[in-house]
Amino acid sequence: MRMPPRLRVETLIVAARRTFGPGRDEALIQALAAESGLHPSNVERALDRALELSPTEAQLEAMLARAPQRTAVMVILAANVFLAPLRAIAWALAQSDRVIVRPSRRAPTFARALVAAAPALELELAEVDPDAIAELALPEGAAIHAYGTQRTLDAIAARAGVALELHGPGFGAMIGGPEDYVAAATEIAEDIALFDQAGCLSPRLALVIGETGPAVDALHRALTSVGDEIPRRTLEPAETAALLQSRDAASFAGRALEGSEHLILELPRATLAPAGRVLVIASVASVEEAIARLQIAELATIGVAGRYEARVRAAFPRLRVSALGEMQRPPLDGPVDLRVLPPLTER
Amino acid sequence: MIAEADALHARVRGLIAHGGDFDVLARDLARFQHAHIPGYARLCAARGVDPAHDPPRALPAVPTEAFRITRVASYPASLDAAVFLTSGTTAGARGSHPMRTLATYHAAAMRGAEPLFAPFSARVRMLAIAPDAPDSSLSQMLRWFLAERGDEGSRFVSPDDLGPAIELLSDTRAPVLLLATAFAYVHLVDSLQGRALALPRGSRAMQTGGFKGRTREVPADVLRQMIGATFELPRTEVVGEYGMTELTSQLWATPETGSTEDAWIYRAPPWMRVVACDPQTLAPLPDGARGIARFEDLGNVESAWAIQTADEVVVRGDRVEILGRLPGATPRGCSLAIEELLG
Repeated sequence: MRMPPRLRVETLIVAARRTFGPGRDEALIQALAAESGLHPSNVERALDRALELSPTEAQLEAMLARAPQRTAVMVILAANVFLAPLRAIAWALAQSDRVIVRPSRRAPTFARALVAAAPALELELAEVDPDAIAELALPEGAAIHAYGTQRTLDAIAARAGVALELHGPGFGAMIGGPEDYVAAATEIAEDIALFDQAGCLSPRLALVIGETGPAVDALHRALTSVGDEIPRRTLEPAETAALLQSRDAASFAGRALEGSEHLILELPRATLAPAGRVLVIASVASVEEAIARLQIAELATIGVAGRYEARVRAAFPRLRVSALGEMQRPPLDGPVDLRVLPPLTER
Repeated sequence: MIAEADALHARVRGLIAHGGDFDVLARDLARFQHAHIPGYARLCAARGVDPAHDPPRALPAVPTEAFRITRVASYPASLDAAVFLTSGTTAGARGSHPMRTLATYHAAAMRGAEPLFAPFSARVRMLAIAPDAPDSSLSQMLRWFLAERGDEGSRFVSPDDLGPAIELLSDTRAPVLLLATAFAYVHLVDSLQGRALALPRGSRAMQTGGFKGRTREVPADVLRQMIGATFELPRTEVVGEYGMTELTSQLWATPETGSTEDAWIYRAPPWMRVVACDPQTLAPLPDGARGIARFEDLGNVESAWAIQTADEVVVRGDRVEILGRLPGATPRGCSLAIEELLG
């Protein structure tokens, strides 16, 4: 059944609301928790806070304005953020009425449930091996949207004959003054705790324009509080080892504040620590210095205090820029990761 | 403080030359670094230990990551005689290991390498396939090897231009000592396109380093066989060296260390101890257990006497089997592993 793009996207969101919104099946929560390794409370909070079930008119219009039209889109999903398939499939539906979904092999639950909940969209499930993706027959004018590790993307990039939209690894950083972090500490802590930094919207680095002390203290308190409600996922041995070494390196170079569910590393220079509810905090002298420090290809998202927003947006026209504490709730106006797309103004 | 450091350097060089009590010197180095390196004092305080009361093994090791994010030294930068840098990465800063004097590094490197030179009674033709870079601790060591044990024809050859190396090796009639990184050997073997390049009887090949930042990786055992086959060397004449910018001392895998068919077995010199640690707690593990390596290197007088790495090891006495980096966590889609960003 042919539907206009806007109706396709709205149909998907209605199906998502029915499946993952209020009144959702408890068994689904447990399945998502088991599959992702996240605590069930993290899954619940993510669905309540970060799932895009109520996009505004303007957001949908922006998504449609960005979307090139394709004969078909194959969406290859990653196992990073369990609810990411909604946005990824919506973005594909904005481009074509034929969408083929390849769920992550390790985390297929959300995508399968969403596809099953939206029969009118005739979404096709293609649960194939990565090697077989290159062999799948796609019509002329089709596109592949792939999300995942660089290795996955490199394999897919070898495929010729279709348009490719490859969303690779990334991380989130924040810019603000000490008082901005203090004011938004609770919301920032939730941004960090959601998905335990599995996705590229998760803040992992906080640049403080000025003294770091108040921000460190406020975020340590907020993360401790969030940790009481949302325990961290069980870390793998290699993750624990990396965290311990980062903690000791930070103790040597600056300061490490360890909570039962989080770790804050106050360092003399901006760097990145392993994921797993770990935040690096470093001081910079100015927003210009912060911008200079963040000229890193892997940076995908920035959370910024309002008074610096214009300068940061101008410096990073291809990145998602959000308010502090709002990084996990970007508008549903396209893919999460905008790095591979030209800014709307260039179209 | 400088006089105190000089005295410690002299004691370490004495131990390297003549032997001595490792534990006493380790304790004194830990106390010196605790007193003069604020970062080490902070690290000890954070872990609730104090070198004044606690034995060296109970004290924390400084993770290699610290060398990347801050200066690790007991003296000001104005006194640096050399600053050695770790390998470059795409986005992360390079780690640095400053040294106020190279005398202890020289003593450790030359004494440590005696097993490498053992078969050669006189100076030998050496070919170092490595960049001759002033900020590389490996280059520094190779420069010493060439100057003090090499003959007049010994030289560095760039790994990016192997023509001269192949020419020199093809023409040589006397035994040669080939010194190169793992990646340089792979590059050299690739350049030969399957052709063997038999080295004269009595030759040796030393392999060091890994594949950081390179596109092609070859398992250590395969590479060792590849080197032996390409240069027609007995397996026992392919010698392994393990060093790190953050360390002053090196480990050597020679015929005497009893390497197995598929793994290098290194020997730590008497002035270095390697301890396998539990990756979940960083606590020392018993002999024979598999863990991540803590290097206690008395050569690191003015930086960090104990270094924590993520390299997996099995330690039996002074024999160390190095198994490579602790396998990483399961990739989680677009979440960026620290290795991806920082190398």
